Amino acid sequence: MGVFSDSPSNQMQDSEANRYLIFSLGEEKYGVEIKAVSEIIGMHPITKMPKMPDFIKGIINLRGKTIPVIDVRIRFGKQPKDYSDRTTIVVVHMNEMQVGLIVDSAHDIMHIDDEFLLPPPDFKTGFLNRFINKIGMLDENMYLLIDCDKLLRNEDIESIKTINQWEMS
Amino acid sequence: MSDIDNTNEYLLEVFIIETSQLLEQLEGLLLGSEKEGKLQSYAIEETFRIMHTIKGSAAMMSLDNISRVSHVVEDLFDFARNNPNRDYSDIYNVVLSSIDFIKYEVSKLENKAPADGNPSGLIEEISKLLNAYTQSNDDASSDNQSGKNESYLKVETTAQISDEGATRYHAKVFFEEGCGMENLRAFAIVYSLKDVCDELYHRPADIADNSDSAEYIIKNGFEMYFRTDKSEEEVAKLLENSLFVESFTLNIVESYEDEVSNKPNPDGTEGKEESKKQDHQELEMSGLACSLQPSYINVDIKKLDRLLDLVGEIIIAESAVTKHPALKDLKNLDLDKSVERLARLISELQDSVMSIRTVPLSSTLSKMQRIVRDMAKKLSKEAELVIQGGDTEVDKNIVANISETLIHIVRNSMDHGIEPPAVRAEKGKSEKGTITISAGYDGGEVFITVTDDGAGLDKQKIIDKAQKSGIYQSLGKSPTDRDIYGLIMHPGFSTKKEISEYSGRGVGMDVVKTNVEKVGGRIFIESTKDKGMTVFIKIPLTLAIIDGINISVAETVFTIPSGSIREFFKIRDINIISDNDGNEMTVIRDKCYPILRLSSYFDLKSNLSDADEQIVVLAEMDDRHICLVGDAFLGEQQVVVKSLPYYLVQYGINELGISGCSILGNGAISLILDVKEIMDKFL
Repeated sequence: MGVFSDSPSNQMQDSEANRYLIFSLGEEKYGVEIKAVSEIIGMHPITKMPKMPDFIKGIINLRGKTIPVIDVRIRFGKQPKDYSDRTTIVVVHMNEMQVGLIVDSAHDIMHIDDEFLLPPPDFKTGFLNRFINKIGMLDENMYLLIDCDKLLRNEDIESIKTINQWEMS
Repeated sequence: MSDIDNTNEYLLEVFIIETSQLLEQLEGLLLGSEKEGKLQSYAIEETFRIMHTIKGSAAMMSLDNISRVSHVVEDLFDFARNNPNRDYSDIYNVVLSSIDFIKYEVSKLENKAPADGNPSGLIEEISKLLNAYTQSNDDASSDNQSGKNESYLKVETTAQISDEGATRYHAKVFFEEGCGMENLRAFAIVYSLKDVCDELYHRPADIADNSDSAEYIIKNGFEMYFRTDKSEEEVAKLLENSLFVESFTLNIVESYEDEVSNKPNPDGTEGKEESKKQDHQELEMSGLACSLQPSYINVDIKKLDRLLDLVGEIIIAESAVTKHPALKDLKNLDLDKSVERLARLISELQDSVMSIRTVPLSSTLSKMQRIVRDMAKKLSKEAELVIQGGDTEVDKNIVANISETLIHIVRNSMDHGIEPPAVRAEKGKSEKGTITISAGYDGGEVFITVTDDGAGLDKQKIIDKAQKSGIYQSLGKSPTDRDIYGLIMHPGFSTKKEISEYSGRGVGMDVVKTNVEKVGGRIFIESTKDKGMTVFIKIPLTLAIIDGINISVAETVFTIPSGSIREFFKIRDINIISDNDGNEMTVIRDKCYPILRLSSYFDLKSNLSDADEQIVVLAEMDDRHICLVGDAFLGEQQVVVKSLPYYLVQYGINELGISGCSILGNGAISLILDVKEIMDKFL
């Protein structure tokens, strides 16, 4: 049973299926589906937005487009870390939104076959349950695969979307 | 092969665009007529023309069902054209359902599905109506007025002529091509002839007051029968000397009684049939001309988006160059001139790019007429829709979004707002409810308000309900009225128990909110119980350019629209008084103004060493004033307004008093303050 086999575009874009961009936060390795990634850029000057949750660092100017950036460390409840030369912004798109993810560093793109994917542990709470939808095990390494849709969504308004969908159908 | 496919696809696209436009126009026209209570002759002509055009193009695209429906409607209005004075109050329903049918088929085509709807029921209904019309007409005995163009008119003449010297003539005159107003030229000839004739008939008859007769004259010539004692040469000379006469024939005839007598029946109807055919032909021609007139090209909207972005970038780059510090002290007339010219060209470029993307709201707003009408009928309520500011132009993307949103709001007003006539009368209101939609510009934003004079919202009921479902607590300790009314747009909230066909369980209103926020807009509700309610929507213009003053607060740059600024001060030049609650105010020229420190309002740490250097901006909006305190004045500049990313809207950024952002010449981003929103929150 493929994890993403429910997405119809998957069959068409076979080259993108099961491919993940791997990035790291400290020792841990994470992956995002390559089809959600727009581009990978270096650190940009960030304009702070007032009165936003602490993980929202502000907005950047990417060639004339204004894109909000979030610190994934803080979003995942980790200790924040000062930005350095290696700090990278992974710009992802989901539901017509574009958001930059600030990560320690970005690595390569990996193909992880379905047989190496495990469901995440069955915690009721915690970030694992909220943002991670699969765990990839490959060559003794563990990759936490992020559900971008959940990452970019304010849980408070999640209920709205559900109702929208319900009404549309 | 693929060429043919492309051509077909292109034709289909043109058909879809054209037909949708025509249908929209038609719908507005008919709803207007229905409201007036009379089917005006121009409405009949226009409907006939539109249906004829649709029929033609549908037939060309082999869309059989559409062409059949439009054909019967065309027949129906052909009848109406010939009998303009009867009561057509029952015609609207069938025509509107025909419009719906065609619209639905067109929407199928748009989605690349075959237009396969079965129109038989509809056609039968229309034919039945037409039959009823013709029958009742036959009963009313056809004492039709004599036809217009094909009959002769006898002209009062002045000459007295004895039978002996009199000759009867038949003359046919053609005028120079393109001389215009042929009917009046003909009238001039009649005028000069009538002094020398004792009998004069001419065809077409209504040259004096019907300019349509000009068409007839161009095609068939202007014919006269008359009796005069002048010789053939004299008459010929007279005709020759008339203005713009291209050619004529003049014959002596024995008698013309038969020709000029307007026999009512057999000839009359025949002539009529003929003229009908002619009309058809003319219509065909004018329809053709119409479809050829505006030439459209279809452009991928993404290309326009890119163009728009580029123009924004150019404006930013322009200010980066022309405001460059190196140029500041340079006094060079030539350079100044070039800069000015560049600025003018850029603003022209900007205007034309914007005009590509913008469309007036009127067509969207008039769609609401239909909804109000249909719902009023279904719910047995009486209501009228008033539209103001339909010429407001907004971006095409926004129109699509707005259309759905307004439908929800208007339905909601019709369903929950406007009361049944009896209830309204009891409340001392007029039985007919009014829904007003108005639109316009407000700074860099478009505002749309929907007001109804219905039942309004019951504040206590909303609070009770919200407390039960636990969403009331999210408002904090002292919610404002606006916060409370805002609850009805909370997902799943509803005060209405039963579900109607139109608006369901209040689910609609939260869709409205998400829709508006998706395009960076804001929405709020005001209401008075039993008086009605108003929904306010504000949406930023896609590429609005505003004049603004940039000020800094800590590391953040804010842009305040110049329109709302009255004065600047240094903070050391004014006296600040605080009251017991820590609210600060100042007195300037005998008037007291409240003070808002942007650093504390936005939780920013001011890093200014000398607090006396701070600046104060006295802002004004709708007769309200507020003093905004910032760290430093950075300069005045035109900025391109960009809407805030939707991601941040999720976290309520647009409720803070920031209406958008903008990229400055140096690539930094400034936040545009919404002075009105800040006043609403703070004052």
